[in-house]
Amino acid sequence: MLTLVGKDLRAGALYLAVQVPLLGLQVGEGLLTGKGFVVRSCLTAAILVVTAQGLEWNVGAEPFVHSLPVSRGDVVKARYATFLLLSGAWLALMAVMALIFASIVVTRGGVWPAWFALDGALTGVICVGVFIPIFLACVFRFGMGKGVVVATMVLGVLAPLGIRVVRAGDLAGVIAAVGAVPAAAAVVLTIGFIIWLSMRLSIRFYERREF
Amino acid sequence: MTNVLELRGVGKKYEGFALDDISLTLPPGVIMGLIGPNGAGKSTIVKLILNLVHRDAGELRVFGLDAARDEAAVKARIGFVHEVPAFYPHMTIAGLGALVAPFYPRWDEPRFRQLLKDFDLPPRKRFWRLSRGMRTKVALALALSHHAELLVLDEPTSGLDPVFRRELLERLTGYIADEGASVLFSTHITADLERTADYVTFVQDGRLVFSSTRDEVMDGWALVKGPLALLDDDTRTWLKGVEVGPLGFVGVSDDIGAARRRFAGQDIIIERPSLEDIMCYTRRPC
Repeated sequence: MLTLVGKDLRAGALYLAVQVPLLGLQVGEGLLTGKGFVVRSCLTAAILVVTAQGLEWNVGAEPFVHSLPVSRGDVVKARYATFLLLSGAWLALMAVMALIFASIVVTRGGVWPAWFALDGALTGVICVGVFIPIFLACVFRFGMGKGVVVATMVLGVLAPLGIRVVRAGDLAGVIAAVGAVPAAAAVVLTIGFIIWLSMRLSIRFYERREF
Repeated sequence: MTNVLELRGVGKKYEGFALDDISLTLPPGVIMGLIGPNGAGKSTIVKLILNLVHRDAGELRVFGLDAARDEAAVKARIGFVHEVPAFYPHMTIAGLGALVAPFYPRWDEPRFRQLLKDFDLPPRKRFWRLSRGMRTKVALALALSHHAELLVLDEPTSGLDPVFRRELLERLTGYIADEGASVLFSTHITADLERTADYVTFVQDGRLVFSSTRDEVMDGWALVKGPLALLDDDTRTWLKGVEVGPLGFVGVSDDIGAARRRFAGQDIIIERPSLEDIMCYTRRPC
């Protein structure tokens, strides 16, 4: 499975490299405005995750991938591992950059950006942790082309709920009521379950797919 | 010794097409040509072997293992060349080798480098800049570099020039001699197989017409030519794919002995047919 993750990263390295400056711009803009930052971060995470998958679909390399000595279940698991790896790396990158930029702002009399707090971070985790598993399950069920359309429709239906979650005030209220650790644990466990469920479904879908 | 490939009663249904009751056996160290017209089911058989599609009936074993259940173990021993090789276009040939190598425990980097030299493939050239023939060479180099015990080639010579086709066939026969591997070679260019194949499997409209040694096929079938005066209803029914021209008729039979007995003493010419004759006349008059 690690070999597959390595393949995805290696194959998508050029495209991932293009994303890095965009991430920097996003962080900068997020620090200045703080508006819509989390939502756009979800889109960036999606781009990072589907880079290799989209590339294979676009150039017709799926038969090549499936001629490699791996099971379909491994292909799915590797893509979820890539998602977790890239999302984790992306969050870490954000944290480091935010720390650097925000420190400069704070020392000059500014304030920490709103999203660089537990409620902001959990909002990001919730958005990415719901968005990407839905997206991946749809892509593994329907293929890249139709899957993107179906995922967009599903997420369109879920958008009102997402907007409600993104409103940091709601989550901040919950954290204040139950405490930081229980709130964070509840979010992580819920998102973990969603990712696990999505992966099981994706494996089932993908094992039935034909090329 | 375990057969490399065994299909027993394999079936696959699509809307408007069905592969039905396909049985064949590929022993170790031989080249099997899989022939048939376009849409006959050749690619479906290849996809079934690689588990790219799922069978609806029958049993498919590769190296004695179930092709679907033991997918990873089976594929580690297979080299595959697709009709239109598609890899990551922005990667170099050497990069593709580095990408594929970790998947195969028996990957042979010096051999890969040597094959690139033999095929005149510049390692630093990016895949999108390669011609169709060069892409096939890259796919072949990748397939030959991990000591595959079975090479599955899906129409690898389609659209390629005769010089490269001949070079490819020489490579394959050399590989078999060196490695003792087996090859399943799907093609509709039957001339390629007449030079190299040990076994020939012919599928048509999703059904198996025959699967036997090339010599059995070439020695067992007959191309029958005669004047129109001898073409009665019986003969027309007995022969396959009778074609009538201004000077006479042509057809094939799968039993050269019976053909000789039937037409003994008549003004009939019985010749050894080419694979193309067999493929062509069994479908319809050419």
